[in-house]
Amino acid sequence: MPKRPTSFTCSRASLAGSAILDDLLWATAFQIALMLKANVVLLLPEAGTVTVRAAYPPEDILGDADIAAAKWAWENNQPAGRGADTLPGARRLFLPMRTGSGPVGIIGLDSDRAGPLLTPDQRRLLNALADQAALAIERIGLAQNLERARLAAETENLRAALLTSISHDLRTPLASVLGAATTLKNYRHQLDIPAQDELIATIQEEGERLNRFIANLLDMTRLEAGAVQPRSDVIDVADIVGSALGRAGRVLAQHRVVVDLADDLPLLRLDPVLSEQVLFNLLDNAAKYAPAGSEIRLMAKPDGRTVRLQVIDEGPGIPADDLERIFDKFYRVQAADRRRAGTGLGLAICRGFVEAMGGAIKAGNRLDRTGAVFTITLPVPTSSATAEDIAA
Amino acid sequence: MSSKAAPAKVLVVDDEPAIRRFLRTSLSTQGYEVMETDTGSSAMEMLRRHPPDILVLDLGLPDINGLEVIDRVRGQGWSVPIVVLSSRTDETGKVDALDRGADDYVTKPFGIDELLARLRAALRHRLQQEGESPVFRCGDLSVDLVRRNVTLADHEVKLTPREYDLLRLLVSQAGKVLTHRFILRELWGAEGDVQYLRVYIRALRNKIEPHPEQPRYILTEQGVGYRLRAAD
Repeated sequence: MPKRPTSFTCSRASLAGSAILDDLLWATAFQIALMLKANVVLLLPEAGTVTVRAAYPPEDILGDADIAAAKWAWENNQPAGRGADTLPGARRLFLPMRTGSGPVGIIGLDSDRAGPLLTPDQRRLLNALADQAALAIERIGLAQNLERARLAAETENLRAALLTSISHDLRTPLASVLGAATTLKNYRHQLDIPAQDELIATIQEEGERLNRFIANLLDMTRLEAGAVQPRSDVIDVADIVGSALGRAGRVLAQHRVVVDLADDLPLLRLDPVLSEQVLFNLLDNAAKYAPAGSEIRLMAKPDGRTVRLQVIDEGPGIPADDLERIFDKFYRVQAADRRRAGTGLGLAICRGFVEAMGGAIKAGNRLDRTGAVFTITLPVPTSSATAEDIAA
Repeated sequence: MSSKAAPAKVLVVDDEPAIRRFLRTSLSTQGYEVMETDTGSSAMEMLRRHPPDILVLDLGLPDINGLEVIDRVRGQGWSVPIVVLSSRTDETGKVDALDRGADDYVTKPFGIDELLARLRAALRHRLQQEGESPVFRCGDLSVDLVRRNVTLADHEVKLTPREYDLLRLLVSQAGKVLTHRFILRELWGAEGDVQYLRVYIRALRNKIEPHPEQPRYILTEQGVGYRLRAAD
């Protein structure tokens, strides 16, 4: 499953490449047909044989004798078919298109005129045209290979980043859990109650941190695999805010949380679980970067045909160069004191989820003081009833 | 659960030995008599031979799917409360489980306090079906089901009839999660719509929650339904 995005991008890139290739083949067929006053088919290798990729006038199907001749010409890198030494019974003459590194395809020619297919002059012209076409085809093939290599490298980078991240972010809490558990197991009787409580709290908190990290990895994998299919439920923003705050209770224990929701918030159509996760990640992010004791403000108000949700903190803010990049996966703003930062996935997931639900998210800085502002814009469904409509 | 009563028998069905070990230890210390097994078919057998008071059921069993176990249990007419252990990646699984007759769920990984609260609520609900306690109290909230009277910190709260019906439904199964579908069917019948529910929950919270934006009493289970905090 996690492979899908890569192959998707891959096939999209090769589609773009093959669109160019198809144009080139069609133009070549057209040009040769015009100059030689003949019917032209161009065949390229595919799955061990050669198949028609372009023809002028358009032609999709070759007879059995022609297929055999084309295949023979490809395999032997020699002419075959009409007027050639091999398989002369075919309707067309098939000639390999070659470059210095070998054949890249086959040209097939026939004509409605009686008599020899090509004059010696025409034959020389054809050879020149075939060489040019072969070079162009080879270049496109090379470009496609390069594109494939670039995508593979990108996947490789992602994998490397993932491995680094996993080994650090999974191991750090795991080390604390194992350390605390083995201390309790071996030295419980030498520890006073507060020390034992301290170790037990470590196990719980680090376990919860691991759980959040694994949840992020799962969410990211689902996004990358294109497996996030948002539900479209009627939701009350206040309800989502409430449950996100409830879940973030322990994460936010060191901060003052102020909630400011407009009274006239319309009901929205969103995925409730994804929405809660987005808010949770933003709150988690604010708690990580803003100092203990500072205020985290959560605001929501209608804004035209959208609802605008903001999480505003009193942390150091975000460097201007990072405002876009912080939504990239594994990107983390380097905290000045190199404090324990997050997994580098939380905000990437926020963007993925918000966009999957048809909304937008952006990062900014406060104007009145230092601090980050995350703004989510969510569409109001056209048929949304207001609370007053229903209660009436 | 009173310590004098006979210990409640809980059957734990999970194929992970570590989970069973942790549940065995913690549930025993809380006065439960713990039976355990690792497959759905053996669970059916144990339910037949030694009916427990409550069933803790993992959804991802190696032989029969946990949802199928719920179907078979309810198909036999057994009303034993079922608390499902679901995984985070399986959002629809828990709603399915509830629709098929499970009483509640916890999502792995979970803390023992959470599971104990679910077990208590599920057991309490079964015991109460004969005689509901007439006054529900939780924190500052008090609901008198006989006099249809709701107070918050001794101040009377005026509810519309529909708001009261919603609150009464939540109170009648306090501590248990109630799915959207269940609440809608109970209160609005066939023409119920989640929109109505969202609006009435908001209205109710505005009247009984000290901070409606950070609710204490009516808790949201995102994507599933609502849960009223259990009585004190």
